[in-house]
Amino acid sequence: MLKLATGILLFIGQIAFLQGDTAFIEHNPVMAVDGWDFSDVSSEKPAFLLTDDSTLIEYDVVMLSDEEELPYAYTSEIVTPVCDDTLCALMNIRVYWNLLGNYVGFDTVAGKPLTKNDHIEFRNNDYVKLHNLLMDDNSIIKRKAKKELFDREKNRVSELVDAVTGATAKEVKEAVVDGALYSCYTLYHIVHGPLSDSIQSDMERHFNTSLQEKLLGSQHADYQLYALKSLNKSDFMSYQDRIIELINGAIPLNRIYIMKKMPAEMWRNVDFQLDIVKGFEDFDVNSRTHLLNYIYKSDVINFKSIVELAKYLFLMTRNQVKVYVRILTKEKSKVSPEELELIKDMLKGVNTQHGYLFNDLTW
Amino acid sequence: MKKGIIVFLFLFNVLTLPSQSFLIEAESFDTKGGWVVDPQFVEQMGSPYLLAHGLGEPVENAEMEVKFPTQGKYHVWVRTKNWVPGEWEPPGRFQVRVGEKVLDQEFGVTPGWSWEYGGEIEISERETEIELVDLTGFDGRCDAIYFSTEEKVPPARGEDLAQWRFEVTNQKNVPEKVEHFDYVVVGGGIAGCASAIAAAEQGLKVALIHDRPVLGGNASSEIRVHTLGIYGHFERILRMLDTKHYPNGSPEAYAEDRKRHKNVEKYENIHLYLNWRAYDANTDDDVIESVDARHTSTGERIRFEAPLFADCTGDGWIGFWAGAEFMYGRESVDKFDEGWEEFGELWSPEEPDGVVMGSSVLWRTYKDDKSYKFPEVPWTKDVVGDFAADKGTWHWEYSRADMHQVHDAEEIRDHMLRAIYGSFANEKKKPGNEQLRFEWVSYLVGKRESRRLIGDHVFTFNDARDQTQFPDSVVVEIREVDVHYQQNLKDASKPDFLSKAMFYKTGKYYIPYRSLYSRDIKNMFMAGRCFSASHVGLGGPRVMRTTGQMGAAVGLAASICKKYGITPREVYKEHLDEYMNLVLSQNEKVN
Ligand SMILES: Cc1cc2nc3c(=O)[nH]c(=O)nc-3n(C[C@H](O)[C@H](O)[C@H](O)COP(=O)(O)OP(=O)(O)OC[C@H]3O[C@@H](n4cnc5c(N)ncnc54)[C@H](O)[C@@H]3O)c2cc1C
Repeated sequence: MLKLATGILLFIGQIAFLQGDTAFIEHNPVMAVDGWDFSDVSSEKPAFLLTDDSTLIEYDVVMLSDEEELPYAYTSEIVTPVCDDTLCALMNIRVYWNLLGNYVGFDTVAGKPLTKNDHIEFRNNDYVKLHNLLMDDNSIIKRKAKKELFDREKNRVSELVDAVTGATAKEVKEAVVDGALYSCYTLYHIVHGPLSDSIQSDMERHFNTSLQEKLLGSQHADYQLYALKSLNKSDFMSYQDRIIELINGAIPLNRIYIMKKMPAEMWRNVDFQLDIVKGFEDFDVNSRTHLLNYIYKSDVINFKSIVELAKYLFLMTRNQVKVYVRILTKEKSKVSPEELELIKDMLKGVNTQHGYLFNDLTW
Repeated sequence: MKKGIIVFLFLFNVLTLPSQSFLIEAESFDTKGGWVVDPQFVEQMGSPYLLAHGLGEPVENAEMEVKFPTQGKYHVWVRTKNWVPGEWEPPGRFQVRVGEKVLDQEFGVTPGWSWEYGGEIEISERETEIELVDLTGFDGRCDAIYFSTEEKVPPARGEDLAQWRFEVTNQKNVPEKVEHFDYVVVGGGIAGCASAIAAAEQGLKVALIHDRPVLGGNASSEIRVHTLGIYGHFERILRMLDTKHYPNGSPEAYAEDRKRHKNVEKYENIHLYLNWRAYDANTDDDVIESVDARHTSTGERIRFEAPLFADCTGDGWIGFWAGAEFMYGRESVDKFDEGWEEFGELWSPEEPDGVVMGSSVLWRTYKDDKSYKFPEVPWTKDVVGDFAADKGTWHWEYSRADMHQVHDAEEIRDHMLRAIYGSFANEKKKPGNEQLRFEWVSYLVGKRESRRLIGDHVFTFNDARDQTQFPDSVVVEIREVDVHYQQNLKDASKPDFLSKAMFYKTGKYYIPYRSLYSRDIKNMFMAGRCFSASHVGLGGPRVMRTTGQMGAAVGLAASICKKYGITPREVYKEHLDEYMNLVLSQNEKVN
C-alpha cells in the first residue's frame, strides 16, 4: 500500500523531463548542504529497493549521475507514518544523500508540506532547523530510543540546583523542530539508518579510478577522506600535487590523516617538505604538531624548512617549540652558530612566551 | 602567632644553610587565607604550590611567621610563573609582604616556572611575618620563597632544582618513618575507596593514600562528576560511595562527600592518609616492596610497606614508578581490530597516535540578588573569541596532539581556566546577566584517560561489542562505549576546548579479573581508568560505578592473596573458584 503510494507520488511536484529513454526530474532541493548543487545532474536510474524490517516500508532509491556519467548522488522520496502515542500521520519528503550515504539535502513534495502536531504546517525556519538536525551526523537523538526522548527524571527538581535536571530532554528539544519531535526523530533515523549504508555499498559497486579521482579532487571533506583511504602509500606518490593541495586546504582530520599516511620518501623530498612547511601558518594546532613531529622524524631535513619554520615560532605552543629545538639540535651540523643566533634573535623579536626554551641552546 | 608553632615551623620548613639562606615552601604556610594547595603537578614542576583561585576576586592573604637565622640584608626570590604570557598584564600577579614592608616587585610575571627576584630586604627582627598578597584573584601561584644573604639565584627547574631543594631543606628522599600494611591502595577515587572497603571487610589492614582532603576523585565535590554505570556484584559497597544522578557540577556533590567519608571512616582497619601523595614505588625483582608518600603541606614523608599494592591513581603512577608496562594514546585500528566504520578515523585510526580523551574543568554559575562586575580578561580572547557560556558541561574538554594528559596537565588546566573565564566574561556582557556570578570553578583537572597499565588480559572494544564472557568475569557493565573527539578536528572554526562523543550501544559486557593486575609487576593490582584496556576499550568502563566494581573486585582478590601468601596471578590460576565464589557472594549481602 505504502509502496504504491510512493510510486505514484514520485513525480508529483517535480518537473519531469524526457531525455532519451530515461525520464528524470530537475533536482533543486529546498535545503542543501553548502557546496551541493544539483544542476549538473544529467541522468538518473533506479539503484535499489530497501525494506525496513521493522516497519516494512520500502524505499526506492535512485542514483543521480553527472554529465560524465559518474555517480553524483542518491535520492529517494520517503513516505513514512509518524506516530506519537495516539495517532499516526503520513510524512512525505524527498531526501538526498551523497555517494557515501551522507545526508546532503531534502525537498518538500508539492502539496504535502511537513506538519507539526495539530497539523500546523512547517514554516521556513522549521525547515532550516530540520536541515540542521539532519546535517548533524552525530546528533543527540541518534542514540536515543524513541521512549527515551523524554527524560524520565525531567520533573525531579533538585534542591540545590536552580534548574530541573532534564538536561537530556533540553538538549533534545534544542536539536529538534518545536512541536515535531516524532517527525524529526523518525526522519533522522531513516536518513542516518540502514539506507545510508546501502547507498555507500551501491556506490562501491560503481567505484573505479575515475570515481576515485573525482572524490579525491572533490571539495567535500568526506569524499576526500574516503578517496585518501582507498589509496595506498605508493599511490600517494602519484597524486603528489593533489596531496599538497589537500594538506593546505583540507579540514584538520583529513590533513592529519594524510600526514600520517605519507610515505617517508615523500617527507624526505626537500621541495615537497618545504611546500608543506610553508602552510604552517594556516594549519590548525594539531596539524602543526604532526608536521613538526614528522619533520623531526624524517632522515632528511631541508635546511630551508628549518629557516621557514623559525618564522612561525611565535605561533608555536610550548611543546611545539620544544620539538623545534629538537629539530635544530638534530641538524646541528647544518646550522652554523651564527645562524643559530639569528634564529634566536627572531624568537626574541616575536615570541616572548616560550623563548626561555632556547636559553640553554648553544653550540 | 604562638611561639610553639614558630619553633615547629622552623624545624620542618625553614632550614638553615651556612650561607644564611633558607627556603619556605609556600604550601607549608600555616594560615593559607584564600590560597589553596595545589599538588597536581608535583611530578612536572617539582612541588605542591599555593594557588590564588579567587574567580576574579583577590583571595585573602596567606601568612606565616618565620624566624630568620640572623638580622641583616637578605635577597628574596619567589618561585612562580606567569601562567598566561602575552601582551597584557599577567593575570596571576601577587606581592609579598615581609614584616611591615610589601616588596615593590610584583610576582607571577615571567613565563615558565622560575625564580623571580624580589630585591634585597633589611631584616631587623628575626621573627618576622610573611604574607602572600594576591592582586587579581586569577590563579596566581607561589611555589616557594627563598631568602639568602648571597645574591645567587637557585636552579630554575628539573633535576638541578630537585637536588638543590633536597640540600637546602636538608631532606632525604627516603622516608625515615615506615608503616606496614596488608594492602596499600593509592588513590582515593571511587575505585580506590571501593577497594579499601572490600579488603577491609575481609579483615586486611589497609592503607588508603590519597592526595586530596576529600575522597571520591572525579566524583568528589572538588570535581563534581556524578557516577554512572551499574553496581554489578558490588551494590552494597558501591552505594556507600556513589552519587545520585545530578548534573555534573552540582553542589549536591558535597552531601555525597559526607556520605562517602562517613562510610569509609567507619572501617577501623582502613588507615586513611588524606593529603598524602605517593611519589615513588620501590621495586625489587618486579615486586613492589614499598611506596613512598609525602604530605602535601608539611612535606613529611612515610614509607608504606606491604605485600600487595593497588594502583587506583587514575594516571597509573604506581605502575609507572615500578616500571610496569603501560599504554598511552590510540592504538591502530588493526592492533585489536576495533574499527567502527561509522566514525572511522575519529573512532580508531589507521596509524596509532598519542591522542587520548581530554580532561575537563567543570564550573557553575548562579544569579545573585545583586549586580556584580566581572573584570576584563583580555588574556582569554585568543582562546574563546566571542564564545559565551554560563556553565560548563562534560563537552568542555581539552586534548591536543602535542599535549600529554599527565606531563602537560597544568597547561591543560590553565587553558580550560582561560576558556571558562573568557566565556563567562562574554556571557556577562549580555543584557540581563548583570547578576550572573560564578558559584564555583574547579581548579582540579578532571581526567578521563592517560596511562593504562597492561594486565594479563587487555580489555578491548571487541570484548564489549561481542559481550565476551570470561571464567573470571568480575565486573559487569551495560553502559555504551563512548569515545570523544575534539570538535575542531572536523571544523577548525570551533573552539578548541569542546568535544563530542561517539556512542556505541552494547548489551551486557564483562571485564575479566586478569585485566586488573599487572602483567609484569608481580604484586600490583590496578583498578580505575588505569586498568588494562585499549583506548577504545576504556570508552565504556571508565565511569565510576564500573571503576568502583574493579576496585571492589581487586580488594577481594587481595584477601585471597593474603590467605595463601600468593600473587594476584596465582589467584586466577589456582584459586579461581574460591575467588569467584567470594565475588558472587557479595550479591547476597545487599540488604
Ligand atoms: C568532565 C568529566 C565527565 C565525566 N562524566 C562521567 C560521568 O558522568 N559519570 C562517570 O561515572 N564518570 C564520568 N567521567 C569519567 C570518570 O570520572 C573517570 O574515568 C574517573 O577518573 C574514574 O575514576 P578513578 O577512580 O579511576 O579515578 P579518579 O576519580 O581520578 O581518582 C583517582 C584519585 O587518585 C588521586 N591520586 C592520583 N595520583 C596520586 C598519588 N600519586 N598519590 C595519591 N593520590 C593520587 C587523585 O587525586 C584522584 O582523586 C567523567 C570524567 C570527566 C573528566
